[in-house]
Amino acid sequence: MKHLFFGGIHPKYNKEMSTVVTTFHRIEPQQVVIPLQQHIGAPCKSLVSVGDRVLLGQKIGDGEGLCVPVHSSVSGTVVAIEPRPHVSGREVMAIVIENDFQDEAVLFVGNDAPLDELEPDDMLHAIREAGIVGMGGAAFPGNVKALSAMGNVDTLIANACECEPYITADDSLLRTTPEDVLRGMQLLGKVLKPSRIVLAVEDNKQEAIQRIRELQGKYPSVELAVLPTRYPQGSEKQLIQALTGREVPPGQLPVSVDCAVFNVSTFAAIYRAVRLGKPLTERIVTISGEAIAQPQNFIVRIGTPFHDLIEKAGGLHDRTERVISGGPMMGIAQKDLAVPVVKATNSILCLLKDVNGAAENPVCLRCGKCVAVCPMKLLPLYMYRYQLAGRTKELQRLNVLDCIECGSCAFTCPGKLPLVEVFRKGKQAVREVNGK
Amino acid sequence: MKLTVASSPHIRGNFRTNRIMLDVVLALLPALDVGVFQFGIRAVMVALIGVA
Repeated sequence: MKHLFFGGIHPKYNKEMSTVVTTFHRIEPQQVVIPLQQHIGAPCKSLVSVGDRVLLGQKIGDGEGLCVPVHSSVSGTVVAIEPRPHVSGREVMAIVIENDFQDEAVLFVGNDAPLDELEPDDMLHAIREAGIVGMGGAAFPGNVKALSAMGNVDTLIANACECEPYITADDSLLRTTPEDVLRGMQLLGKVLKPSRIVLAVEDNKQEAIQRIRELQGKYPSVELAVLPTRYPQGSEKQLIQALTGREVPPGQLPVSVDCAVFNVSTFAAIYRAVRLGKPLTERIVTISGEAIAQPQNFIVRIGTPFHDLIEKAGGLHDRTERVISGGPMMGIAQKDLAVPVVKATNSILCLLKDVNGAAENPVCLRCGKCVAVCPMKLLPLYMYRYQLAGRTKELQRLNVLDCIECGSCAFTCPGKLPLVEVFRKGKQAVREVNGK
Repeated sequence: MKLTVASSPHIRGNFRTNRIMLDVVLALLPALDVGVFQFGIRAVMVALIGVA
């Protein structure tokens, strides 16, 4: 039976822009800036000091608790350890490394034991040591998520929906190295022991689907699910609903409905970590948008500043208004182009002035279109009114904390209300009241 | 170059309040027709005064 998730929208996808160029160039930055915090949780402590020589793949930061290490993505010399601008908008302690272009690497030791003899604990350890986080955007430490799901889930989902417009990073990964993803799924399947392993792709990625179908004979345990394209299908909760019909209860995690969802890039990284012993030091990044000369996908070393990618892609248009880390629906607008690509950066999007006409005097006419598109079945129009009136209690009763900030309501709103912005403040207000 | 920092989403659909209101007017036209049929041309007068 086919399930669907509630609500959602159909923005213009513009994905073909960045898939015209089919060869992936690598970027060789002069300097890399590696933030000590690229995941949700506690920041790493630096393991090196200024002046040290580091190798490609060397662990340069690690910490306790909810934390995964960071690694150098080049070989070279540490020139600074200081707060640097981060894609989140704050300044975060970062290790700056001058590239010597030697690419002298540490010795990568993979585990090539047969699939049945691999120990789950060893794999989890390898995943942690490789610094793997959720590469779809959330950046939650991969080993912690896997551990919490171990033996508790019946469905393991690889998320290749990539429902945000413009972005084609996961699509590119599936078109070039689909086997890494499938092997990663097999490996994580050994750890979590689900009864069903699904690779979920939206139907606007036909070439990727073709590649997976060709390989399916070799990986019989992996099921391919082709879903009708709709935003925000790639959101964990919506994807679970679309695949299994189960709804994650408010405030709970996918484990509560026996599901675990990881991004396809994460699976590829898991394969490289376990089998090749390689830490997460590079990823595919889409650079796209109307304001960039040559939209394409790059293989980028973690820590490469945004301006290096922009330069390599032919530079920005004169009328560029925004440069966004992530997609147009949920990405973060950047003010400083020296910010580095982090583990969860899937896209750099450059937009021209006329794309987003925000209203000067937004007026809600209570048409209810936002209610129809909200995938979490919330009531955006009332949440908006309550937050503006400062009525936090009512706001909480409307479950503002369940808002996934997908932006479907603000996209659809004919009155152009700044809905997501207001809900973000509302969520903060509710959390403050609850914290007291 | 000046870059704008604003909240997501950074793109919007092209639904407009004007368009919705035009639909409202269109939907009311049949009702006006019936009004004219029932009460004659003075119904138009009433409608015009109503919107003025």
